[in-house]
Amino acid sequence: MISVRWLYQLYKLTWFAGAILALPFVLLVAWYGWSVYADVDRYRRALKSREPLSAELFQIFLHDELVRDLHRFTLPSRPSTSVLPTLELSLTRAKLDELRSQLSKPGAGVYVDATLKKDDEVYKVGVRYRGGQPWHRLGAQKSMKVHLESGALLDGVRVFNLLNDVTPFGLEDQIILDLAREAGLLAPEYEPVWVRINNSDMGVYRYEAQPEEGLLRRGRRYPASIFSGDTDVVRKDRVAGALFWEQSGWTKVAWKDEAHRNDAGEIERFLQAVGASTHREFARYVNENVNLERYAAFDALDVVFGGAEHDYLTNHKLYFDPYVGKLEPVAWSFRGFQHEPMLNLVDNPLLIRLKLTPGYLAIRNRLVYELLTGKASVPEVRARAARAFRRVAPDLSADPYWDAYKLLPRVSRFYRFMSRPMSKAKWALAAEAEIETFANRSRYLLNLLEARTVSAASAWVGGNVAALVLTVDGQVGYAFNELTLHAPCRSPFVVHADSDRDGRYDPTRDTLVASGKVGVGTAPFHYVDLAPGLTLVARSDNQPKRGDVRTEATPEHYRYFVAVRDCRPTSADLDLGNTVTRGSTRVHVDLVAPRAAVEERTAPAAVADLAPALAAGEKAPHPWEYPPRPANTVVRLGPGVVRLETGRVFATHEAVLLEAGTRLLLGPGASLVFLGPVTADGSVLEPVVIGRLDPAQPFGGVALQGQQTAGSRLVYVRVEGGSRASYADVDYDAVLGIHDTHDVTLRDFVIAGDGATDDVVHAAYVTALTLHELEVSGGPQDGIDLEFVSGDLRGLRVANSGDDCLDLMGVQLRLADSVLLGCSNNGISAGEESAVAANGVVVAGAKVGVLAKNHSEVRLNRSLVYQASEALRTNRREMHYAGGSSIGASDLAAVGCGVVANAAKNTTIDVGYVQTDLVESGSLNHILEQVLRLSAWAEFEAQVPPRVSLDGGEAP
Amino acid sequence: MSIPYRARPGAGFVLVTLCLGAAAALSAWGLKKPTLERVWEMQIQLGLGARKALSAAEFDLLQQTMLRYPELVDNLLEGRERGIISANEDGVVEKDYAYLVVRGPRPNAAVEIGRTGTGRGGNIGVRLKTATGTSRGATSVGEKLVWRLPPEGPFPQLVEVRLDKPAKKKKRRQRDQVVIVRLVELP
Repeated sequence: MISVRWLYQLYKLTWFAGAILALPFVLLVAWYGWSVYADVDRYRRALKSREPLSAELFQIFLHDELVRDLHRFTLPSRPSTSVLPTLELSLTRAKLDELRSQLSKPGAGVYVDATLKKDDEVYKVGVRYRGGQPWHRLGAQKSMKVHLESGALLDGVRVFNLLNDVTPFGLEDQIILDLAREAGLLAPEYEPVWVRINNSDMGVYRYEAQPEEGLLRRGRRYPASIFSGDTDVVRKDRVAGALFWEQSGWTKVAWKDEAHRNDAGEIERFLQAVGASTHREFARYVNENVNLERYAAFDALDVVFGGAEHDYLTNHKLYFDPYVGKLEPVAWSFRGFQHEPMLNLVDNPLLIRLKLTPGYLAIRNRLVYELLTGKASVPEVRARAARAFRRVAPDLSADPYWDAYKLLPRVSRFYRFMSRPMSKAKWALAAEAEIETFANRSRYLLNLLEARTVSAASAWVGGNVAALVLTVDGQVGYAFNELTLHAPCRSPFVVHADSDRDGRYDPTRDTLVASGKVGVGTAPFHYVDLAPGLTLVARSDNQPKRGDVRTEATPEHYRYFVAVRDCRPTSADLDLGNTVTRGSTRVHVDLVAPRAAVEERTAPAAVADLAPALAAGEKAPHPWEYPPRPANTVVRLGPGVVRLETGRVFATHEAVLLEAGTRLLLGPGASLVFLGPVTADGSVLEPVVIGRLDPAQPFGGVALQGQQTAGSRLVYVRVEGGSRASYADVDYDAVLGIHDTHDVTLRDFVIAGDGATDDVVHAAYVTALTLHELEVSGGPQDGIDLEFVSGDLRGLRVANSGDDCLDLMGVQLRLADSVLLGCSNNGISAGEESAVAANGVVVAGAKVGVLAKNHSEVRLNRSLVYQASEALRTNRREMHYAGGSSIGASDLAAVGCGVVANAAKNTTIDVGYVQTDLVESGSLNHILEQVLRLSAWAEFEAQVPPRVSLDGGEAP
Repeated sequence: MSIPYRARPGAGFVLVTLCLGAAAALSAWGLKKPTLERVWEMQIQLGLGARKALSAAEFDLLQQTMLRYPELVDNLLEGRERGIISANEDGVVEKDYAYLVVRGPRPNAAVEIGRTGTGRGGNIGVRLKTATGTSRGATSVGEKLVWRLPPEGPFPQLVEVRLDKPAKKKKRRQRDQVVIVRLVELP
């Protein structure tokens, strides 16, 4: 109890005693004063600012320091039920000092050694700080780049960033990258994680995987070239970064194999096309070499969310798929949730070229509309944000360093970029503001895309001929679906498009696009795509990142001449399909009273054979400068001998029919490439044969390439004497290549490979592939190589492959009643998350009967493995895929095999009873009689080549 | 009159009290929400329509901050010369207030308040406030109230338009009416 005497003594304290008692408070005030001053000074130097130390500035820093210190006293523990992954870094004191010493040096730092622990697994890593902005370096949470050593992978990733994300909302990239992934784009992982360094909790970071081979595997793409575009070089002749004009800004960060490591052909051709090709050449290049649908999906995300990061200097990543032969973007660094009254906040050169090419904007704007009314609608984005925040909120509450910038109004860059302590209340306010901005943008875009942008006018030509001019403006294009003409007579009429655009009606020069009868709806068959025009205008805010031009929609006119045989037309009803909303727009035009001709006030369009300089004033060519899409045709070949000395490429609109008894003879190295559907209607007695024109020299190969080949059927076909196909930039590894398509059937098909190829049959990115009664022989590598394929295989006969009889990567297959004979390495090699259900399969004379690796599973039923060194094997060597592999077998016969099951650690082979003799009963009887089509096992034994040795092949 | 010895505090006590007071004052000052943070919150909440009308002190604070930081005005107006900075859709306001900013003096600048919709509703009182003063008026359906803005500023000029809250029994009639606020140029 405090006595009065004590209080009195306190009241009468001498100055010396008082000085002692007051010292802590003085030191506290001095400490805070000095700390605040040092923080301000550090921030000023980091921002290279001369902002004076005003009372207001001092108070803000003091406030933040006090709040942080008080927060530490009330900080809750991280919940034990946290769902965020935890990454624990450990560094020695010396390494930590070395790391910190790099903060003051310019440029990227050097990696220092550390260990990383996740889920009880420990990895050796290199760590360095990254990021030049103050928030990456000044606070306790510093952004890092981590590189796993010794070939190790963490969840399939070798290099990743741990970012101190200081955006108040903090979910922008996470939401957009999730949408990108759902749209089928390649998108690296981006998620919150909890980080500890030397047993100290450092709070929530953003884990950002680097785009590299692992991304391709997780994205179910074939591992091949990724190019990264980042430069600081600015063009000397204009205010624009030089990334799309100089190859030096592009780095190859992934490649197919060592032979392709230094091959920059794809990016050279890309830059040549963007920088120097004519409109027409670029349209052809894009059609053959760019995955337009995927690029449009990527661009649509930038439009919807107001992204401005993919600019003239940085943040471009392109993947070249060797089996599709096309470039596609890697979704990376969007930021977004911004709004300015334009669709693309940045029109980089590639984007401008694409927009100047007919058809691109119709695809892109349709995808924008689908996002805005679907997965990226305002309520959906709000729900995603709420879900994502609920997941991370408990950890953020326990984060001692949770901070953000942009928590002060935009009074200056200095105040705006100040990193300040965060709270849930501030987050809620910032989130509402971000989503409101997004809602404003969504409203703006929907207003543009739902606007009616087409109008029609008429002019009198003379006699019974009227001119109909459709004008399209804005962001929406149309398809001319139907015309209903009204006239006093029920007479036939014709419609010509003014395809030469001279404004004069000349039926000998203008293109006939429709013919019908008055009063009856008639669908035009040509010149039906009506798109708005596009012009380049100077940017008012030009800077190297954003360039000096942007695109703007302008009206485009489409003139048709309507001629009725027996009387004057009075009016017309047009049914136009909206290419964005897929709705229908009806336009009525009176043709009775002659009106003044519609004057084209816009400047003449650029000619399609000129190369644009991407300067203000340039216009997109009128779509009618390009030839119209050709009508679908049927090309019949045979019967009899058809000689194709230089091979042939059948376009997408050509449906090819190979008659029974056709012999297609191809010259040396010549290839047969189908870009449209092909039907080979052979029969037992009259098969379709594809062979050599010169018996001494192999022809190239046969390829079914692209989505337009869907529905192809090749029945009773023999392919003899091929090597490998050749077309555009596509890689073909086999005599027969089937790429990027669906619903393709090969039945009663015989094909052999010789030394001039790798594989005999190769399919990549094919769904619903049916291979029935396929006979494959030879081939220095694999008999049948399938990558990212789903389908049904039955009655295969594969023999004498130099490597695997059946090599599978990322497949979902049913395999039945098949014989794999004399496979030098594996009978079946199932890898990269394959799932195979096999029944009635015979593998004979292989080193390994069935191999499962890289998180694959094989279910083998009523099958025989004969004279293999190992009947069944599972590997776990490649670390791109988490999870072990498994083989499950029942009613398995392993006869004459060295080892029945060899399972690597953390994989499983589950077999029940294994038959070790050839008996003519039970499931083996089915194999003998139905699969092998023999009457006795002695006949089978005579066919099998001698067992190979254990040398070479895949080690466990 | 001198303090008796017994009542006189020791020098040490005075020192401790002063130091403690200074520390407390510094802490209190430091812990006070920074002015710019308050402005940040106000800006967002007004834009969302997620708060009540500004108090007199808040109004003055926002006006003073706009005077001190021209870049703030650029951000509020998004490049325009004048505009509504609180929640609205093309001038249609749902709350009982609207805040406008005028960048520079314009002799014929005025605020126009109109009401549309069905129902009788009667008059609604309107108050217009700037840094230099306040005016009152009323608006009814179909009639526009036009106020010339005081030309003396200060500029950038913050303008508050407040609508009187209707009596409870009138609320139902006024629910389907819409208030539109615009900045106009008088002839």
